[in-house]
Amino acid sequence: MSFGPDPPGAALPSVGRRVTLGLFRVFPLLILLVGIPAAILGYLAGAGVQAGTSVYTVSVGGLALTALSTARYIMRPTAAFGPVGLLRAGAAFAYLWFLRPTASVLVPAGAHVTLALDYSTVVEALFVIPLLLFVTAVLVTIQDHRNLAARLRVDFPARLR
Amino acid sequence: MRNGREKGSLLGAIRLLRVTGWVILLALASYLALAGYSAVTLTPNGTGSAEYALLPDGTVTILTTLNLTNPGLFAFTKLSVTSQIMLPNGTGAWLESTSPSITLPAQGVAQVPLRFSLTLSSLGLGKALLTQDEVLNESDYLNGTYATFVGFVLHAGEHLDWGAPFHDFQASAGTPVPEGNGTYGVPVKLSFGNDASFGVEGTVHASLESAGGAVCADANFPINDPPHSTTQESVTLYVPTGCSLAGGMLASRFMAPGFVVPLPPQALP
Repeated sequence: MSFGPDPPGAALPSVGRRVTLGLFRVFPLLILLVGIPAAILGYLAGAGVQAGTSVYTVSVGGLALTALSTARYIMRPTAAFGPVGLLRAGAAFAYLWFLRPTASVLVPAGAHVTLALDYSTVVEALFVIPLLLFVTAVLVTIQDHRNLAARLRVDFPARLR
Repeated sequence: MRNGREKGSLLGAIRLLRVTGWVILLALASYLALAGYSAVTLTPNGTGSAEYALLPDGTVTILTTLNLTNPGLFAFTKLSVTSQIMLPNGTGAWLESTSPSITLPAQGVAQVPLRFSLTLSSLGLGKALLTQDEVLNESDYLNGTYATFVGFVLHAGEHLDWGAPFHDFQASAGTPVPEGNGTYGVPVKLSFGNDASFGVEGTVHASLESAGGAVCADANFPINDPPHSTTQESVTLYVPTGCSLAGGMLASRFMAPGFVVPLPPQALP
């Protein structure tokens, strides 16, 4: 995974360090992408709200995004950073694509009153995130193809002594 | 130098996109959390009591209101209410009312007026309501947009108490009695209760008709019944001996200046 000596002006972390830190990042990512959505769904279920999205869906989607984000983090000092970012953008897009048809909740608000909420428009608005991720990954891939060292000097600047 | 600026602008664009993505993600996540919390705290209060009125043209109006309370942080916009009163036998919608679009502000209340109209002379599938009290099911559907992006449908089921204006209407013909003057007298009795919330004023016209539909004899009963009153009338109709009532019927209808309402007939032996 190492690509020879560090380019001038950059201090790349070792593979072992990146893997270790990447694994530490897994926990907050899991909380953000799996724990919080599952807790929200559990809270809604406890309040009698029927959500169209299942805990299974958010767990699978969250785990996939966590794995790809971790891989991307570990690959950051390499030319694979951009392509892995493209994969992550694709996974995020697919995740939202699966979420969109189930983006509804049914809220019982009284003995004879129910409220159906359809937030698919909100999910559609979230598509801007994978779009930004995709554009960013494309730019990173182009940048790395042209001059990987320039990006590494920005992402991993060498400390002045 | 130019090449260096291009590379620098590309790296700058990458950084800008990363920051923008995070800002958008955090904004949308905050919005979702607030909207979801507000949705859970929403408390519709159902409908108010219904008011009934009988207009001079024979149209009964039912006025009711749908009360809404929005303690949430976001407004309801493009809120329209469609209400349906279902037929007593549950075979479908009988009356329908649609309100104009309104806005229910954040932490506000709103009363949506609903008005149903029915013409007594052409009740269609609801004809039984002339003579039968019913508890009618009302379904209210609110369509609109919540918190700008979230579409919603709120369904509230309520009950309407309907009192029939000719509750348990009975028209009966007694045994014919020869009068010896070329006619025979037939005692006719009418009885019903006005269980409606509106008064009924007009005339009940009763006629003894032959099997072929010819009117053998008829009579008018002036009616001025306030709400929740009962009426009993009796009269003897004189039928010419040449007009056979065998297989005929005792037909009745309520007549007011602006409309006529057919009432349930009774077959004669």
